Amino acid sequence: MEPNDPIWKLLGKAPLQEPNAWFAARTVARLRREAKQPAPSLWRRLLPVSAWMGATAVVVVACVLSFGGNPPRPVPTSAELSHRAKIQDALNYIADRGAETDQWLAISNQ
Amino acid sequence: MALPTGNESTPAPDDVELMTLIAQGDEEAFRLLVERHQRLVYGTVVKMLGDPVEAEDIAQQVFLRVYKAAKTYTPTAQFKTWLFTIVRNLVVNEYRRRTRAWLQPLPEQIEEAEDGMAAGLELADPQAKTPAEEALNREMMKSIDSAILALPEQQRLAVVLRRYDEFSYEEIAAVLKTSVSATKSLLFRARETLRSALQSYLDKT
Repeated sequence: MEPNDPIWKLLGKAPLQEPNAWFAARTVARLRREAKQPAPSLWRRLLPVSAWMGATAVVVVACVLSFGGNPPRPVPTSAELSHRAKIQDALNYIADRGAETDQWLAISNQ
Repeated sequence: MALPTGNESTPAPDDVELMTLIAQGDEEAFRLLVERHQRLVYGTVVKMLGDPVEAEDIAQQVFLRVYKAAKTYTPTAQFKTWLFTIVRNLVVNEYRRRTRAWLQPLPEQIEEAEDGMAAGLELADPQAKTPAEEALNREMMKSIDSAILALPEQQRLAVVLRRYDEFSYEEIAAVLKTSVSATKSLLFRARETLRSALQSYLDKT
């Protein structure tokens, strides 16, 4: 941008805004209030972080305790139920056959 | 300690000398440094953020950072460049905080801020004599500030530093941490955008 540029000249018609007459005094007052305060100790600076970490740990432990011991059982589908029924029938059949065998063994032992 | 302000026979201490005194906790030196640079720092922040109230807070933070950094300050670069690097960092942080927090000023807030900006400059233009001329002048200043605010961050700072703070290309490049050619490119693009946004005012002149 050159000083003779019309845009350059136009921008000059909206000059920088002046600060408040008390700006310097207010800045010095803020310096006394903020910048000259002793720096917080390391513990105080880490306190918020450690508080968050502690809270997170508590939540994680609570979740593990509530869900870890009793994992939620999945709801069986109709196909699974039918499959289980077939297995149960088969086990019943085997049990019946076992009883017969036991009887036969008892007879044969006599 | 009463420091010479430059009005007396003894010359006023330069910025580096003031920084040395500030490093020793000299409040008077700090006040003198603030008074010396407040106009450019505050004015630049207002142009960058468009909010005079927020700008005062950010400008004060700039000087507080200067105070805190005084002990480690080494005059390798020009003081003005170093100071405006702090301005840039704080303005960018504020801009990003606003973007994250959805704190972009609402149109009416912009209007109020611009009214405030224009009101603050009311006495700066002795040419505006009639109320109609004053109104037109104020409207034009609002349009110029809005056009600057609409520029991308880097272009905006480059324009403000070049036009209002009279920085050289090299100084702007140092503040923006870029090359001189990239700075020239930023200013060229900004100029084209401003030309397009303010065309109606250019036609009148």
